[in-house]
This record gives sequence, structure tokens and C-alpha cells, in this order.
Amino acid sequence: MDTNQISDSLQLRLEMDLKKLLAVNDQVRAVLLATTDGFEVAYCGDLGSSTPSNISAMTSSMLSLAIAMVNETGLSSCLNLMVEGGQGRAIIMSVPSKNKPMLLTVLTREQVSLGQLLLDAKITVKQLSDKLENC
Amino acid sequence: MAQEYKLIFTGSMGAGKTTAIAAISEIAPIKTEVANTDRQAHSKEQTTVAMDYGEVQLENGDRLRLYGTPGQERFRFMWDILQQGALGVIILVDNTQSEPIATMKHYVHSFKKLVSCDRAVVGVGRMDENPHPSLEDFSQALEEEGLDVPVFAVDIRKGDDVLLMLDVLMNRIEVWEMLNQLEAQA
Repeated sequence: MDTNQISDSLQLRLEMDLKKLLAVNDQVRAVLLATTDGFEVAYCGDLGSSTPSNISAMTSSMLSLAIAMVNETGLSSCLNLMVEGGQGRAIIMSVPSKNKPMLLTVLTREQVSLGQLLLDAKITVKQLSDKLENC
Repeated sequence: MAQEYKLIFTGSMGAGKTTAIAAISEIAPIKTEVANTDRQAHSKEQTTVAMDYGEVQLENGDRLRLYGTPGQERFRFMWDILQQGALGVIILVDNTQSEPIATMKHYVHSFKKLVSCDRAVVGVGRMDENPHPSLEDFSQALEEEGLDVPVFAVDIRKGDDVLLMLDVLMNRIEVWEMLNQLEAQA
């Protein structure tokens, strides 16, 4: 990724939003922001044995496949993608922006409340989106 | 009874995998392209991040399912997923990119299981713009690796060029399987 596209100050402000989500929901294990083509922008929390670059690339592939399926089946638009694992969930959400659309990935622990998670994640998406739109 | 076969198109970013599948697919190809933010790696506007998919029906009724891989190394996990159950691989190289032979070798090694049992062909694009290295250079590099892989000059925008590679690949796979059966019977 061309890192010149994101200033240091914007990077810091984006990281703050990720940290807020991690702080507000104790079942959130890690939060990661990536470009739509799979480059890591920022992350915080525990990614387990993986790396931010790996998860960024996988996030990009998975959401693009979900969008392809939504297009194929006439479901209009893909708002988010959820993976349910034995020990938690992963949610991938689009972060809309005219100039810098991105992807938010939230990894959770097992006891997460899905409704609360979606609410918290959507608030974070809105915050990120506003910053990316106005940068 | 008609059979279905899975084939892979791979190669570096910008080598033309999406274009090649679109050139021959009889269905509207499924693409997973997004905006390319890595303009240092390649100047193209969009890049594939998961896979391309297309289909071609052969004269005998068999159907080829065509999967294109993402070109960039960070999507390597998709290469491993996509080559599961694949019958053969088409490696595309853009001769105007830097070090095209090294690039070809990288993909040859990444798809070694298919390449080492005659289930691969190499297509070199844009040779009209940059004729060096030559097709012989590519073939020699493969021979030095102990591999017998056909190398073609192709214009991946032309369906006939892509279909010729598929035809040769399918013939080689057929011969390989016949020889294998004969060996098993002996």
C-alpha cells in the first residue's frame, strides 16, 4: 500500500476509534482496519497467532466473495459478513468513504452479545467513515 | 456422461488472469476486483483480491470451471485454497514486467504439485512490446528446473490464444492420465 495516502495524524485518529471499540465492549478481542485490497491500516488487541497483514488480506478476500455472492443472488448490497467460530466470532464490515473505503474486522470472545456487538461496531464504522470522508 | 474439470489461471499482478478468463468464459465472469491502492506495485486501477470465475463448455459436453487467483503474494492463502481439486494450471507472465523468468519460476514453485505432473502451461504476454527474454529463454529456464512445460506467446485479450493454451493443457493432462493408468495396469 502507498502509505502516503494516510497521514500520521489520521492514522492516530483511526487507531483511537479502534481502541474505543475495544474498551467499550469487553467481549471484543481485537479490532483491525484494512484497505479494501487487503493492506493493514491499524489494529489493536489480540490477533492470536495470526498477523495483521494476514488478517487484512483474508478480510479483503472474504468480503469481496460475499459481495460477489450478494450480486449473484440479487440481495442488493453486502453490509457485513459474520463468521461464527467455536470460541468467538469475526465480523467484517465495509467502512464507506468516497476516497478511502476500508474494511473493519472485529474479533470477539465466545460470550459476546451479537446485538450489542453489531451496535458497537456500527458506531465505530460511522466514526471511521466520517474521518476518512473528511480527510 | 459429461465431466467437469477445474483449472487455475495464475500469475503476477497485472499478468492478465481476469482478462483471460473474461475472454473465453461463456458465462458472465464472477470477479472480486477492488480499487488498487498499491500503485507502486502496479498502475492498474483495480486488483483481484479473492478469485475470478468463468466457465467453458467443450465440444464433447465436458465443462471447464476456470478459477483465477489473486496475483499478489499476500493472497497466497487463496492460491492454496483454489488449487485444491484442480486438474491443471495456466501460468501467465507479462514480459514487460521486471524479471519475468524469475516471476514464472515463483509461480511454478507455488503450483509445483500440478506443474510436476505435466498439468501446466505457461503463457507469455506482451512479447510484441518486449521480445526479451524469448520463449526459448523461458523454456530453457524450465528445463533447468527439470520441467517439461509448454510455453506460448499469447495475447490474453484474444479468446483463441487462451483457448489454444487450454486445449494443449487438456491434451497433456489426458496423456498423463492414460500413461498413469497403463502403469497401474502393468
